[in-house]
Amino acid sequence: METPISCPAKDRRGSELFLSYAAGLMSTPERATFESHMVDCTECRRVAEEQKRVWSVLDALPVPAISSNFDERLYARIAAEERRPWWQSVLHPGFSFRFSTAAPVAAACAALAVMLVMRTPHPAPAPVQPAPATATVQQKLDPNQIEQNLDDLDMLRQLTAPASEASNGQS
Amino acid sequence: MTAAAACIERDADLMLRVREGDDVSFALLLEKHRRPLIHFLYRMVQNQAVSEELAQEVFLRVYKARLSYEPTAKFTTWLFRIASHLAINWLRDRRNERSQDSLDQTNPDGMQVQVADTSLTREEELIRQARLAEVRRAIETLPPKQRAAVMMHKYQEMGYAQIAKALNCSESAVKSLLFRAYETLRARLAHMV
Ligand SMILES: [Zn+2]
Repeated sequence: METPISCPAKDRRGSELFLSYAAGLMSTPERATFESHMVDCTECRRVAEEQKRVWSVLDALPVPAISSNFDERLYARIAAEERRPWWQSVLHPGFSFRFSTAAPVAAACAALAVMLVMRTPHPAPAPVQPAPATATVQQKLDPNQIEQNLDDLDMLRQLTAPASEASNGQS
Repeated sequence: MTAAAACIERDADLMLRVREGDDVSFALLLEKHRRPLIHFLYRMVQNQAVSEELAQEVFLRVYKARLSYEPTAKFTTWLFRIASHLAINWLRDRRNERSQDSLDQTNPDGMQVQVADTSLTREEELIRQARLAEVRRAIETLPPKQRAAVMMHKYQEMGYAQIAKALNCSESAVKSLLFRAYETLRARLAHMV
């Protein structure tokens, strides 16, 4: 049968075909066309076979189990980084940082924080202001945190803009 | 609505609830994305402790950015964008640190020794461990951005467009990264059956 495609192994742009073929993502007609080409093309047969082997080798690569205290550590870290003055949480529980799933950990951290605050010489807390309606937006962030938040949000916003063709694949 | 579209909408919806102060929604997002994210990071850095540390950083950043969150892009893409960024930086820093110290690549410090497969004989298990070490060495030869592209393509089953967004480059650049990465992997791993 006449091969209706140019040889993908001789063209960099053809490399996509080998990936789709190994991943089983080709449509039936695409696969039939590709396989009929491979009947006569030893180079494509070799690359396709090698790609399939790489695929199955990668499939067999195990990943370790996730630590059972991963969530606890994360919640403790979030609680610590929120740096919310402890009296604000006590006086305005509606706006307090709360994680029902990590309540014991959060409670332990809060207790520890309170103990540390009480044992450490500490300037008197500023008079508590009544929480405004937009209290959830009231965050105490240091400049580094603000900068990092902006970076992360920039990443989100850039996702909506088309990726620049100027960006190259240099690694 | 397709299942995928519903799923995307659900993530964005959960994140909007997190923005409003609903921490249960954050727990749901964490539950859903924890495993794929940590596994992605583990495959990137090949070190369990570091992968979990970086995953914590990703979720922490998501949480801290919640107040200004707008559902302008797929949540997963944003998640992997932050994760890739952190992992690539970690690998580059480490590469610089370890430029003179690359002898023990099969078992970097902190990496968990793989749990033995108890169905195998001792000899079979040794062969298995040697093969796994060879695969890891091959992956470690990939430059960080190529590695990230392969991991998202192979294990997260992300398309070229989504990988491009996660890596902040063009789709053609992603194809080029994947082409070069798989070329390296074929050369190093294709002899393995
Ligand atoms: Zn051919």
